[in-house]
Amino acid sequence: MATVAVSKDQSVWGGGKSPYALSYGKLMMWFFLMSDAFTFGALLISLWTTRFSVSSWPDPNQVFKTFPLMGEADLPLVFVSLMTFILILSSVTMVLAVQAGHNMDKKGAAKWMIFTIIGGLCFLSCQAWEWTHLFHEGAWWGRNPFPNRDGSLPTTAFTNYFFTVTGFHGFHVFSGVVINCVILANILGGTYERRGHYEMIEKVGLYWHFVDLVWVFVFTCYYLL
Amino acid sequence: MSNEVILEGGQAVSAHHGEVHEHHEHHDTFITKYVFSQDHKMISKQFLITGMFWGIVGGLFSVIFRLQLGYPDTHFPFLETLLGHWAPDGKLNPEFYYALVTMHGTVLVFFVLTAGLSGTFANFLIPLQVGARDMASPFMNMLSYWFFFLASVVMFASLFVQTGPASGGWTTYPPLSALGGASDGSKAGMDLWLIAMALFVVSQLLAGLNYISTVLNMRTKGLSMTKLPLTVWALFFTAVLGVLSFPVLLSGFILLLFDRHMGTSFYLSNITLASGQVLPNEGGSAILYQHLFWFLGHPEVYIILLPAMGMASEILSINSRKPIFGYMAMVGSLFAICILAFLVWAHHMFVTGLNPFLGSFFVLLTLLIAIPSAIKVFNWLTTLWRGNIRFTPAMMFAIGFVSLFISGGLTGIFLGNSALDLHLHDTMFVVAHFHIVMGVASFFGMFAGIYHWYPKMYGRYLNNTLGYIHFWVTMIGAYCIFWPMHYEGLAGMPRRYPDVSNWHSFNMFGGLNEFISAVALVVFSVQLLFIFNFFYSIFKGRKVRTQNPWHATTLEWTTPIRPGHGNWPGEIPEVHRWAYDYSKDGRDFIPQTEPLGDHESGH
Amino acid sequence: MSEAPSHGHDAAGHDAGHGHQGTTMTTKRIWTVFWILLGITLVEVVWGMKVSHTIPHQYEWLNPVFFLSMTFVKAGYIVAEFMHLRYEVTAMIRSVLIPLLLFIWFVLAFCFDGASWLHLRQAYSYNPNDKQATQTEQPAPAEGTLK
Repeated sequence: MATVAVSKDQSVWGGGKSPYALSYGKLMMWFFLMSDAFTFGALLISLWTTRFSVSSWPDPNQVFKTFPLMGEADLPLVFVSLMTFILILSSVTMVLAVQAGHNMDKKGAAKWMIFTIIGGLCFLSCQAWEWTHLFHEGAWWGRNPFPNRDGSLPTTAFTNYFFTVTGFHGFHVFSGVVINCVILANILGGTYERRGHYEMIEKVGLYWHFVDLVWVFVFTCYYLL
Repeated sequence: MSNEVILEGGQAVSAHHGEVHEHHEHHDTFITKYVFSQDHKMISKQFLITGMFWGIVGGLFSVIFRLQLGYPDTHFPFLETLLGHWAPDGKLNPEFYYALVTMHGTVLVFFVLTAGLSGTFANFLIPLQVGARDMASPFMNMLSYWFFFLASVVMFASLFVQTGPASGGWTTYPPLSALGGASDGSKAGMDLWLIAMALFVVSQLLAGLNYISTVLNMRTKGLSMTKLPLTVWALFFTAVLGVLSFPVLLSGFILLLFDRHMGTSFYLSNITLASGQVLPNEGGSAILYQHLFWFLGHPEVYIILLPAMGMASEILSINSRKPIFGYMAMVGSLFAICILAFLVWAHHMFVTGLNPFLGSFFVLLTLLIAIPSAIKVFNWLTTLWRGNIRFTPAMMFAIGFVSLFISGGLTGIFLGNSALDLHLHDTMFVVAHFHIVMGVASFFGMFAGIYHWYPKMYGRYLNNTLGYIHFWVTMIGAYCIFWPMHYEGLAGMPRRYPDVSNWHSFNMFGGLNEFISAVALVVFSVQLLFIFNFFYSIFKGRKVRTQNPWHATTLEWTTPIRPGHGNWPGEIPEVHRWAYDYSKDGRDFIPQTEPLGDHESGH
Repeated sequence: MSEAPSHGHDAAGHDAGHGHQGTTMTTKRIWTVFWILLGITLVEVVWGMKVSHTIPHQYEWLNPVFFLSMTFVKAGYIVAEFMHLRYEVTAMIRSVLIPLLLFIWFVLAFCFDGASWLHLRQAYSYNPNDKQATQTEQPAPAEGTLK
């Protein structure tokens, strides 16, 4: 929403230039991310509305306590912490790619973008492992084997929302990885050298950070609260 | 072409040839010019014509179901010819009646009044009125139309499936819409409806992002936000409303699709079928869907209304030869409506099981939203007052818009009170209210816009006589159709019922229903007359010979009569004043491009 | 993903793409923020594993308060630093953040209603299939009502 800027520099809003000093592409990405925030927000708020409408809910410490290759070990929330770490790290490598782009450093931008893609793929693999593991325990859309905290029989709401929200998030991570690959190809092909700026990395960077941001909220809603 | 007219007419086209961004001579093929066009003017016409097609379809649905309501005991053999097994023996199958009202609502709200109204005019007017060569991203603009087209194809296909189109009301509440077994219209037709709507949301998002970025980033030099015409402000806020609220609808639909096909229970709980079987779903709530739906649903009605408001403001001002009264108040009230629109959604849910205490907050917010709406009404009336009015067909529709907005808006105050809503919800009173305030009013805004900007779109005028006939029949007809419904609603007659003859409280309206149906048929026919006028005039209409036929101040009238790709053949003009210098300093109008005089006060 | 050729508009925007006024985002800062985010996450996990179940009943409200505030701190760092919002024009920051305030009413209204449904089910649901219901007997019909 535009506010009529009562600023010292009235001419910023005077037409002929962007009042936000941003290219239209970046502006569009920001506003798209705001709309996507409402999509995820609606899903998470629906989750919370449902949680308020039932008397008890499974304990995340009991549900999410496994770790790949550790068999029956009871390691509550350790795996998801690893996933969070991976995603945050990939956000950092993305920022470094953007920074390399600012310096017109083609090799650096490519290197950090590759790390970001690897980070995204690792996250997706972890999520796939988590899903498979839960599926083998009997959880799926419409099936919830995990008892509530107070011992009562659970509704399927827990798993319904879990798979929907993490699935939607995972889909965004996947599409982000695909987009990043396309951008990587463009970097290596010299498209941005010719164009004279690496702003495209910033734009997809915004998308990638948004995906990380959503994960922060999903992590809290599902694994902590 | 009349480029010479511009160059000789001394419009602000400088001779700096080095600066001229004349478009690379791409030779458009038929496909790139008319089909996969990236030109905003062509895309706007694509939206308009697709919207008009859907308007005929949706209007036809209403004529058919009005036949049932007006003549409940009559058999119409032609219905069976037309609809086959959906109207056995010339009488509508009740299931199909529900499908008709559902699709009427869906098609008109989304495909005609959202895509056809804001899709057309945002696309057409924004670049022209902000002084841009095209939208920020012409490619995304093209995609937005083609996603809309795809959505249209899927929705149209849903009309023809074996089990029939979606029939749970345009609001498609679960559990009816979630359980295929509950109704034939909740089978394949419902899935296609959801897919079509998902594509539609994508189209609106692509479009809205473009409009916002163009208005913010691509205004020409000198055109500050406070010099923008109200049309652009309205379309800008419309886009903001859409970008923030359509995603919530998408989430709601995703959860509904999962409930339908993945065995989830987002909206389902404690369902016992007629056969006695108890479904396993539990933990969900149907009211959750309603919250999600109306979180979009309310901003949606403002998405429909705001462009009409913006265009009406513009057309009233131009044809009164007066500046719009209270420009900043108009902008401020658009802004206030934009914010409040997000806060009032549950006034559609007062009797659903919504917590009544929570409901009281929604009552307060709903009554608050009446305030900026009223400010706008006062400003429109004061713009007209003592104006030098030119009663063009566009002006007639704009004045009609104000009338309808007042009538329909006032009944909204009744409905916004949850206590009164206990009696009035789901009755014909509600039907009357939203048709007048949103349906007909926005249509009038749309018609006003079409009549007013048709010369710019096609370089010809629409036929005036047909225009006046169109206006008067529709105006009188719309009041004749919807006004009586208030009384029916107060008596308790429910909406969406195909047959009310069994209820003594409200089965005495037979004559009135007949009258309404007869008028509806007449009004529908006159819309067909308008369609004829539209297409005929493209080829045979009186040609536009002057660059600025309405003597308006805004930038679109500084382009050639048939603007080409890039809109201005030379430099884009600079703007020096606001858009409403009419009857100022003894001059009829002063274009925005004219610099301020030495002793002239700015806006 | 290539941008449409610039038609002479957006010249300034084009410049803004690689002319950030005084960006102070250094490599050092990036890694600092990373360690902050990681640190907060670890604290949250430890709280989630050890504290949230053993906390006395009257202090249970601290759990959501803690987790949510830490979440918003992390979100703030990601948006402000990684997404660079802190370094943008003030009007831009406002344009992004102010609409998000809508979430406040969104969350409040939805969750309030959710809680209301639980109350309704517990107090008034006589459906034997409703697991939330706590009423066991159907109420007697009121005096003088229509049959």
